[in-house]
Amino acid sequence: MGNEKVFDNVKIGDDILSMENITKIYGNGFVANKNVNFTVRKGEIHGLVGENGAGKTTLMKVLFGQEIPEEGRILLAGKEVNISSPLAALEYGIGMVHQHFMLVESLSVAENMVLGSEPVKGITFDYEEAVRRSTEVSKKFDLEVNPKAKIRDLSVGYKQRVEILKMLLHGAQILLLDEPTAVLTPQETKELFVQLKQLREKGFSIVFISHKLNEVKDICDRITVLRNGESVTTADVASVSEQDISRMMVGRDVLLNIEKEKANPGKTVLSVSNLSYKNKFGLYSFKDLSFDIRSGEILGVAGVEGNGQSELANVLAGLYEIEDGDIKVDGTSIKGMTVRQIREKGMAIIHEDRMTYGASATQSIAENIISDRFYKSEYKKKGFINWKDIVSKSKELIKDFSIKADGHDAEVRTLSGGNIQKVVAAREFTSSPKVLIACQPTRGIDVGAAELIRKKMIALRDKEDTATLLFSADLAELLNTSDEIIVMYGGKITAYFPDVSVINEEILGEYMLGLKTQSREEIGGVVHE
Amino acid sequence: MNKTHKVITTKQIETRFSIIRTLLAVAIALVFAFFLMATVSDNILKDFTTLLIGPLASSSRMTTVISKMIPLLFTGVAVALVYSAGQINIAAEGAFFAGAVAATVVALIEGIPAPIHIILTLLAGAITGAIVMGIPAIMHVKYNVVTIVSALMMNYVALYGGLYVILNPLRDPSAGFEASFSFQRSAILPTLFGNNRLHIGLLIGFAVVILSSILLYNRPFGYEIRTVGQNQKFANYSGISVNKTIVLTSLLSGAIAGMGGTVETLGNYSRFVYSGFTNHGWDGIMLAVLCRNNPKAIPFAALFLAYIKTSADALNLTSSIPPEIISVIQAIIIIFIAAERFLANWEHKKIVANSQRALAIEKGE
Repeated sequence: MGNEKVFDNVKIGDDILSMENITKIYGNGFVANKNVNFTVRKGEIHGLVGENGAGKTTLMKVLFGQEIPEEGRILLAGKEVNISSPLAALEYGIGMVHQHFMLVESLSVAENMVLGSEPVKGITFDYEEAVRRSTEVSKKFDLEVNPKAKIRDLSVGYKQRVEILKMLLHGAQILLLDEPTAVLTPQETKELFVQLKQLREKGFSIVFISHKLNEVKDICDRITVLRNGESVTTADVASVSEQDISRMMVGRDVLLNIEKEKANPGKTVLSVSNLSYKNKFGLYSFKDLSFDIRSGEILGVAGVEGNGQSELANVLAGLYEIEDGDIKVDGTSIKGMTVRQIREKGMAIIHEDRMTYGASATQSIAENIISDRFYKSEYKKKGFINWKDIVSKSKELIKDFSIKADGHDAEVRTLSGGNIQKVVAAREFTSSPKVLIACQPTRGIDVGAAELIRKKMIALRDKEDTATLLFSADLAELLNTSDEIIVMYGGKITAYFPDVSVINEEILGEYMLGLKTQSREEIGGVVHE
Repeated sequence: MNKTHKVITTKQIETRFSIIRTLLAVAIALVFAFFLMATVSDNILKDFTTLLIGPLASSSRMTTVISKMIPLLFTGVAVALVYSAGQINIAAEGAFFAGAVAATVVALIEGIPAPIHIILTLLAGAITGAIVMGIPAIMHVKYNVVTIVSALMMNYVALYGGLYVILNPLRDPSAGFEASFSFQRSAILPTLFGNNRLHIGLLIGFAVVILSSILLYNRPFGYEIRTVGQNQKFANYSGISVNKTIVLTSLLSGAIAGMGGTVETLGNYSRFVYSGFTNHGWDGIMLAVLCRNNPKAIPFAALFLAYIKTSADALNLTSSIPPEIISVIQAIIIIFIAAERFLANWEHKKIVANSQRALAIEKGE
């Protein structure tokens, strides 16, 4: 590979890549990057931080050849390069690990690793050679994988290792990692950091995109902060605090830890008893779950993704049928009810998949806000939809939830992730919910939007006595926002902590990985009646 | 602020471009048509003039344009509605045909007074059309049958089932050709403005356009239709009954298409005369695509299509140009308009320039 020489000529600590005055404007007129400057040195881990919609992902897509910028140039080892496609980026030694892995689940590790430059013997695929290459690169970088294992049998952390190795096998010298820790447990994150530091020692450059400021502080050498599509600053990590970084990201002081009063729970509102659910393969996603939530409290659910949380949320929302067991809202079973009936019982749902379920991308903000209530009498006038009223109510909500948009008639697809989630929240939080099911409500959104959503959730608890079930992969958020926490592992509740103040991420991590399980009596405490 | 470089919203640019795109598509298609016609025409200037303004040459031709527009109003709206719900239900052709057959059956019954007889024929057409388009929808929500395939097949069921009824029990052996018995006078649609080629179907058609537009944008059910069409999972999660919406919309669409078949038959003929597909349903698909499923735009598109069809007829009468050429021109126009990416680069540049201006102003202030 010819460009390895180019990289060899650069000394460790010198600029290896610089992006100058990058401007990217999308087809809908949204300016994602404005004159962004960004440099990476050889042998550093460079944090790229900013709110959602600040342009981090766009900048990385430009670097990886997925988007072509309107202005600006990219220099690699001092020479201007034209990166027109991901293949070209790989040729130049730039590799990206996406947040959602680009792996073929049914193929083996080795087959995935060589995808794009498959070895052949005659006209057939040379599997042995693929395995050999995979083993070689795995040994070279001291990242252990079994080349013959099928991807679908691997854990999330393992898959990520495969992704990184795949890029290294293709000759990447600069690795772009888009929120690599979002899907990992604390233990897996630690392991990843060890691996990344090893790569840094070997002279690789790593761009680390993250929302988690403690991680950025922990692993990065330098950071670049983006705000509203512009590069605000580049600084040595040692010289800034987490509070400084968040201030630079948002442009004002942010409460990283939300202040809240102690919960004052009332009677049970949501009661789940012996609930089980089988997926389409006939396997139990979760089995025999029982728990209660009382009015005015937030029950957090911790767990590694894929341990039944997602199915549980969908059953509660009425999207999946109740097969076995029962769910009661205010003492009435919701078994067999339609989604509308369940919502009329006072259920509100923030779905984890906001682009598919939570919002309708090609409809306006106002149309998204009324989707659960348009048929009610207060939104109608003589049988017709009262658009005038809806527009004025939508404008109020846009202000109240500080949604950044062209107006109430802007299509949701034109908004940034954080603002889309605010639209979802503006609907779900204003239906006077008795029960709120919040699934990953702040995943992938910026600190400012996350702060707003958490505050609103606590306000619902305090002012409307809402009983909230909070699913979150962000343990800091869970510990900070919940009043009580349960842990789900293998489709079962394995721990119940009535007092959040006495636990930490490490303790949760042990239960999340299934290393520990509480006794029946302890877990039974979550059933209050 | 510099007035010539006013900053506008992206939406305005997009609207402007959809107009430019349409006009340019027509222009390009006409240029194409010119050269195509030149290869076969003896007198290209005369023939091209006929193509452009032939339909305006006499009041009779202008009447023809309006008369051809009437059934298109129905099928255009029918397809626009069902497409708004995201259902590629292409059985409007069959619904139109079946509607005409059902109307014929009722129109042959003796002894019903005029206004009631007409209402009954419309009802029969609507119900039959609703069944034709409703069946693929029900099969889809109950058994997950792919709508486009079942709807396509449904057209043939309607066509040959209908022809069987017309050519067996209802065939008039004394007619010199394959046709039904004559309709009762009480079932024939009244004419408009004393012109025997314009009938009250025109008024019904406009009523259908207006009512479905109100339904789609101002009634809760219309909101459900559009939401289901944009994102079914979101609709379901919000509490909208997706299956119910799909079935009801398909029934309504079929009823409109069936009424179209009714007025076309009872407004223009004294017997059932079709021996195959009339193409009104297929034209309806084209209109819905051109109008991006907005019923309000259907009359304009229908008028345009009726105009080219009349041009084609005129050319056919006055020149040696084969009517196939006209079909080619028609197709080219549709292709250009339907091509969303057509002019996309230019549009993108405009949007970029506009955003940059907005940025500059923001900075300047």
